[in-house]
Amino acid sequence: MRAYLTRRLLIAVPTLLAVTVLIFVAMRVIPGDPAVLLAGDFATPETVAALRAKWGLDRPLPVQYVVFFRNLVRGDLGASIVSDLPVLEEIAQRFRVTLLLALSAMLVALAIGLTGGIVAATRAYTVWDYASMTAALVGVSTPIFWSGMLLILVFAVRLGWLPSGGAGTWQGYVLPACSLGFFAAGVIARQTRSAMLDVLRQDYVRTARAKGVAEPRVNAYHALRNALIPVVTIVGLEFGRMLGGAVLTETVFSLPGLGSFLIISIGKRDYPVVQGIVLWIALAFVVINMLVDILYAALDPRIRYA
Amino acid sequence: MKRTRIGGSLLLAVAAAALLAGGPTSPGWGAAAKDTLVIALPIEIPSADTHLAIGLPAIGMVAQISDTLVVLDERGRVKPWLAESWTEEDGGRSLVFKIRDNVRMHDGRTLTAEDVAFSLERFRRVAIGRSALAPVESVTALPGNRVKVTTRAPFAPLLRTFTYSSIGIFSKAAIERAGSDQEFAKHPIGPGPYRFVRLVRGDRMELEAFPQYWAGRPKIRRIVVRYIPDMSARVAALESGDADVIHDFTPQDAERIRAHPQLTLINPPSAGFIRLNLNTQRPPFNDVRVRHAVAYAIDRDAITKEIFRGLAKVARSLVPANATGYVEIYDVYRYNPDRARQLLREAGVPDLTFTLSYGAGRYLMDKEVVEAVQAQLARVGITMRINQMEWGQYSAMLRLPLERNPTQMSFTWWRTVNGDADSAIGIYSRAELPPRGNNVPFYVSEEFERVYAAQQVEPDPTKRRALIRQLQQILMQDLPSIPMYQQPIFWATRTNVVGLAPKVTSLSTLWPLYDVEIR
Repeated sequence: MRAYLTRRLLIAVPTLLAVTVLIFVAMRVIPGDPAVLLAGDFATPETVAALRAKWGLDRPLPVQYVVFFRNLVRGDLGASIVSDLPVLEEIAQRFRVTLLLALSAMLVALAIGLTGGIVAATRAYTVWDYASMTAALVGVSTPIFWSGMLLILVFAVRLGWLPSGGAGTWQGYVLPACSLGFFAAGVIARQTRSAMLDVLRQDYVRTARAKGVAEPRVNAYHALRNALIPVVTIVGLEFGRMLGGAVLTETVFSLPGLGSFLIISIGKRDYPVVQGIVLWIALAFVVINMLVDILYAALDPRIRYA
Repeated sequence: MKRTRIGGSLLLAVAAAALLAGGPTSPGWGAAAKDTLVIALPIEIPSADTHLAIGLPAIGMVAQISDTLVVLDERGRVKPWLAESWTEEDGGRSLVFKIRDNVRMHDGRTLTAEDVAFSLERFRRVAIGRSALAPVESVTALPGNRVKVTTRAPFAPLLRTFTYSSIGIFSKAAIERAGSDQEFAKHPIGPGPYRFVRLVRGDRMELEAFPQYWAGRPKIRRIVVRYIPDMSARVAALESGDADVIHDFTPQDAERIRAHPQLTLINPPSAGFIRLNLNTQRPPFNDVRVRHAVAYAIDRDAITKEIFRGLAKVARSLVPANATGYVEIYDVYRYNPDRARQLLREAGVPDLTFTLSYGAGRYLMDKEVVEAVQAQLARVGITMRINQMEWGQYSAMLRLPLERNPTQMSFTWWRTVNGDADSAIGIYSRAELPPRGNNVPFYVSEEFERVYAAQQVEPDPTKRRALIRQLQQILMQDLPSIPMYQQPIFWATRTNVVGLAPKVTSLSTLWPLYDVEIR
C-alpha cells in the first residue's frame, strides 16, 4: 500500500507541474492588465509601469515563470497583487471557510442521500422508492442560487431563525450546508439506490436471507457495505468539487471561501492568487482521489494495492 | 462597483414561495445586539488604510479611521474639519491649513502638523495620490500647528481635493513604527471617530468607537462592514435584520424597500453619471452631425422612467448635476427621431451601423440600458451591434492608443471626486488621451484646452464658474460623449437607524458615522 501511495504521489508531480504551466499561460493570454485594473481611473502610464515593474510583469514570460517556479519550490506562492499579502496566507484563510462548508454540506448530503438511497432500494418500486427518487431528482435539478435564496427568505427573512449568511458564527453555515448538501444528496441517493439494487440481487444476499439473517442486518452488513464502492467514488468527486469552491453557494450566502475568491481574483487579474488557488484545487483532487482509493481497500478486503 | 446578480430575476418567484411559510417578517437573527451597526457592501474592503484602499464605498468605511482636513457639507460646500481654517498664499499657489488643536489619535497622541504633512506626503507616493495630488509641489509643516501645501501653478480645485476620503490623516509615529505600508494597514492609527479592530479578508471589517473623538463620542459602539457580493443576498440581509445598512441594489428592489414599513430607502443626489463615448477620430463618429444624430435618437427620459423606475435623473451635461459650476444645457438634445434621421441624411449615412462595447455587469442595469438604446436607435434606422466584454478585457481595450483602439462607442461611468467640475471634465483634455488617461472618445479641441487651462488658474470663483459653463457648452456642442443619466446611488437602512440619510455625500461614501444612532 505504501509503495502504491508513493507511486501515486510521484505521478501527481508532473500533473501538478502541467497545471502550473497551463494556468500561468492561460492567465497571461487573456486580455486585461492587473496594473491598469488596480491603479484605477486616476492612473497615468508611469503609475501603471511602476506597478508592472513592482510585480515583475515587465519581464519576459519565461523569466516570470522561472521566478514563479523557483519560489514555488521553496513553498512561496508569492504575494497577492490586490492585497499585497502572501498568497498562502490568503488561501489558508479562505480554505478554512471552504473546508467547513464542504464538510458540513457533505454531512447533510450523506445523511439524506444514503438514507434516501437505502430506503428506495430496499422498498424498490413502492411509493417510498418513487417519493425518494423524485426528491433526489428535485435535489439535483434545483439550481443552488435558487434553493439558497429560498432558504434565506424562509429561514432568515420570514422566520428569523438563522442568519442569512456570513462566516462569523457556526449558524451561518447551516443554510449554505443545506443548500449545497441537497444537491449532492440527490446524486448520492440515486447512486446508492442503483448500487444497492445490484447487490441485493447477488447470491450471497439470498444465502444470508436463507440462513435466517434478519433483514436490517442483511441490508446493513451484506448489501450496503458492498454497494458503497461506487458511492464512495461519487462522494469523493462531489467533495473535491466542493473543496474546489462552491462559487454559487459562497456568493449567495456571502461566505469568503476559495471559489468566490478565485472568481474575484480572475476578474482583477490577480495572477499569483489565481495560480495559487488552481494549484491548490489540483492538489486537493489528487489527495481526495488517494483517500478514495484507500477507502476502497478498507471497504473491500479483496482490493489490494501493490 | 462590480455587481453580481445571481437569482435576481428569480427573486419574485422565490419571494412568492417564501410567503407560503406565512407570518410576518421576523425581527431577525441579528436583532438583539443593537450597539452594533452592520453595513453590507457589494465590494470587499481591500485594505484598512485609505491611502491604499480602492472602491468609493470601501474608502468611505475605512475613512472612519483616518478623517480628512476638510469635508463637504450637505450642499456640497467645503467645511472645516481637522483643519479649522485655511488661507491662500503666494498668489493662489499655496494653501495654509491651521490644524485643530487637541485632536486625539487612537494611540493617545495629539495630532500635529507633522502628522498631517507626513500623511499628505505619504499619500502623494501611492498610485492614486500621485495623480490626485499631481499639481502639488511640496507639503511643509509650519510652526503654530499649520501645514502649507504649495502647487507648481495656481490650481483652483485644490481645496476641494482635500475633501476626498482617500486623503486620510494618520499618525506619523505609528506609520514609522510599523515599518512598511503592509504592516501599518494591519493596524492603522488615525484621529477618526472609529478605531480599527480587525479586517477579515473577503468577509468583514470591524471598527469600534473612539471615545476621545474630537467632534464628540460616537453614538454607536461597534461597526461591522460586511462584504455581501450578491445583490439579492444584500437585500435579504437587510430584510432579515442581519444588516442595518446596505448599498447598491436594483431599482426594483429600491421600489420594494420604499414600500416596506421597516426599511428606509436613501437615494441621494449622485456625483456620477453614465455616458456613451464616441470615437471622434474615426468614422462614423468623426462627423459631429452623426454624433448629434445618435444623441437625438436616444430617449433618455424613457430609460430613466422605465428601467430605473423614475429613480434616476437624465444627465444634462458632461458635469454631474451637483458639482460646482454645473449648468443644465442638455435640452438641445431632447429626444427627436426626425431630427436624427435628417442629420444622418445630411451626413450621408442614412443606414448608420456601428458597435457599442461595454463591460457587462459593471454598472447598475447596464445590460438593460444598452439593449434599450439599441432598440431606440433601430427606430431611426441605426444598427447598433453590442459587444459585451468582461471588465478587465474591456478596460484594457479602452486604454489602447488610437492606432490600435477598435472602440467605436463605449459605455462608461464618470464622476467628480471632490464636487468640482474640473475632475469631471478634465478627461477631455489632450493630456488624458489613452494610453495616458481616460479621454476614451479621443477628443481634441484647441478651444477646450485653452478654457480648461484658464479655469484651473482662475482665482475668482464667479469668473471660474463662467469658464466652466463655457467648457460645458463646448463639450455639448462637440459631443465627444453623450451624457445619459445620473447613476443612482441606492442605500437602504432599517428604520431604527437614525441620522444616516443626510450624511450620505454625493460620492457614495458614508461620512461621517459618528452621530448615527440605532434606536
